[in-house]
Amino acid sequence: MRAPRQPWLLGMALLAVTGACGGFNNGPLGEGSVRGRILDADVDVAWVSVFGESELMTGVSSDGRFELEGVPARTVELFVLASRTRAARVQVVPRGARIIDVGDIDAPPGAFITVQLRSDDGSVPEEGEVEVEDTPFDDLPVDPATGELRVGPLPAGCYVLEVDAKEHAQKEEQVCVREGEERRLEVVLSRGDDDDGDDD
Amino acid sequence: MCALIRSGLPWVLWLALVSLSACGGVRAGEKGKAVKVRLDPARLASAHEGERHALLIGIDQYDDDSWNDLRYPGKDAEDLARVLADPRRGGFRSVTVLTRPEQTTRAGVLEALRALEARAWNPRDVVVVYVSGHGTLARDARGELQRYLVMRDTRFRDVQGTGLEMAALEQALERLGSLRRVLVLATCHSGTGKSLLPPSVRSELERTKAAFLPRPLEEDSRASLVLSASDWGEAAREDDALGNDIYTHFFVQALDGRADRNRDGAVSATEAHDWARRHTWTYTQGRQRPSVRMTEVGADPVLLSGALSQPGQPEVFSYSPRLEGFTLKVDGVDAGELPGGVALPEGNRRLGLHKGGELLWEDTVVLKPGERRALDSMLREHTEGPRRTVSLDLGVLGFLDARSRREVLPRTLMTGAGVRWRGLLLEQRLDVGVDLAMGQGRQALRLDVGGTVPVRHRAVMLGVTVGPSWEWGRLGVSTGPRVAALWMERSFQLDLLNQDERYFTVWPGWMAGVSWRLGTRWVLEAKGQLLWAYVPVDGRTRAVGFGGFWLSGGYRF
Repeated sequence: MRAPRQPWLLGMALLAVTGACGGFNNGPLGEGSVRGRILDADVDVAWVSVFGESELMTGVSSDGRFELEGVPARTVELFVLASRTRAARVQVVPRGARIIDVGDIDAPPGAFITVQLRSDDGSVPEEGEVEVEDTPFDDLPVDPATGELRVGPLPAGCYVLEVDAKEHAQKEEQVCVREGEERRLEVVLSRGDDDDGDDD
Repeated sequence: MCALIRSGLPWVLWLALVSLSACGGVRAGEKGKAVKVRLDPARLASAHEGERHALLIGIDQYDDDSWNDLRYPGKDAEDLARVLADPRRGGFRSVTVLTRPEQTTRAGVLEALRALEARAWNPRDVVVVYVSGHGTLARDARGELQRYLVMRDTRFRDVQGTGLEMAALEQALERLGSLRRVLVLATCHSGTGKSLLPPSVRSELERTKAAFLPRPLEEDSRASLVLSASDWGEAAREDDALGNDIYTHFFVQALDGRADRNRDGAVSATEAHDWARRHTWTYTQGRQRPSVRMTEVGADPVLLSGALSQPGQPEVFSYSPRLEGFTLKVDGVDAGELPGGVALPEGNRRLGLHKGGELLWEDTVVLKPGERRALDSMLREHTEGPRRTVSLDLGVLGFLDARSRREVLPRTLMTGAGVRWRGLLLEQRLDVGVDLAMGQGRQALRLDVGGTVPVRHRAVMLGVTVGPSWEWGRLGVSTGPRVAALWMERSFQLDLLNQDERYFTVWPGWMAGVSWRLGTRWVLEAKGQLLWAYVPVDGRTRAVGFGGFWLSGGYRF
């Protein structure tokens, strides 16, 4: 064929280089909100968090209602602290850019773990702290006089407790508790490098 | 007649038969002729009015012994004159017959033509000029071969100076005020039958072969209808049993009304010719095939006999050489062989042209009373094919990759329309198609994080495709590059997100399609198209492809 010289070729070329504009963003679709109501909630202490996403946390209103925003739209567990003695874990599947309602949560009695902290020389370490991983129970100070700390209420399940103290090596302990259980856990820390002396 | 070639020149006969497509067999009593009709479609509304006049020339005897005398030209002219002048048949206002020796000289014929020209003509008048005699070829003053009619006093050695040049006869007819002019030439010019060629012309024809031979008169005549007693390459014949030139005998017979095939009360020139053609062909057992050429078609206002009493049956016809030998089938039944015409019942008729068991063309047409449809024009459209196709399209458009369909935009059901021009570019090699489609849907994205998210989506695409197409019978294939402007939108009406997102791109792609023709006008087509583009998703640009699949119903025109 002959080399075409028709203007339409130029037009096509111009159109082709016009490129594109606009686009799509799925970011807002990756999070949702979860709402519900905690029955017999103690407004002063009640909160709701996402297990593993402890920064996602909210309190409850006077009637026990809560709405937790920015929850990843995948299967998660809510960590619900209803009162000083009751707690629950609730599995939910938030939907992207939407609000789901988990309904009423009737939290059962929670478990308590009493941590008895000692140094390997038998003394009570200074500035001892306990953290329950993936929960808002973070940087809980141990009684410097007795070396004890009562953590709870915790919903039935297994937890990793991270125990730390000044001039002692950090230590992790996995503990599984049942509903309403009172559990005592003795933790002996070795003197040594304080990893970071921080509260992680 | 055309036949009396000197026995000492057999190579001339061979040359005439094989190379020059001359009048056929060389035997006494053969003749050649043609009839020409002027048409003016603009005046067809009042076409069937006006007077009828005729000039009939029959030349039996020749002064120069080189031209053999003929037996029936005079009688042919007289017989034709009788029927034309008969008020119950031809009803011609005037019929002038030139048969006597003093009337058939070159001067006498030219004088008769001048007298004809001097008459006050109405454009609606019909004039018939009939000439039966010898014809020949000779060089004119410019050295070009021309056709000549041999007059009584035409000298074999000076055809140019003493013969009647066909061009001059045509020009004389052109000057008449009538727009319905019929010229019947019962001669041929090939060296056979009624023709005798001077040695110099024979020599030239031998050297130049047939390609240089002037084409039949009818092919040079503009806006004319030509009736010939024999086809180019055949001899016209006289017949002692009939006492006439065979074709003329049946032509005269046709004018008594029996050739009125469409039953409108009148016999037109083509009706008369078709009647004479069929009977001549049968009578000569296929050796002589009268022909007709029409270079301006659509109507035949030249009535030679009778008067219109009612709208005639619709007719279809073709006198094109290229359709010669084809059989016309109407509603699956043989209606006759072309060239020729047939009258058909009004209404929807399925017409088909067949030859050798193969179907050349088929279409359904609506025929109305009084209508005349030229098969040539219908076939021309078929041969060249409709140039444009408009289509309604239904299809889907979406990302080629499943991930994008799942996370960005689902497939969209599209409807649209398109126009395609066949052979618009590059010397008819490339088609150009323009299509516009749009669609919308309500589906759901399926996100790894986010789950199932309902989305309403819309898309509009305007594309231009350029490419070749091929057809094999009903099957067609087309392909080519395309450029498409694509606009897409997705909308979320969710608890936490009420937002529209849009994307627009213009990007090249490719199209390929397969079509199946349903009859002449309708076509089904399946098309696929690809389009590549860069699409920003979540702040990152993806190079993705779009694919579309369409089913189309098209109308060609």
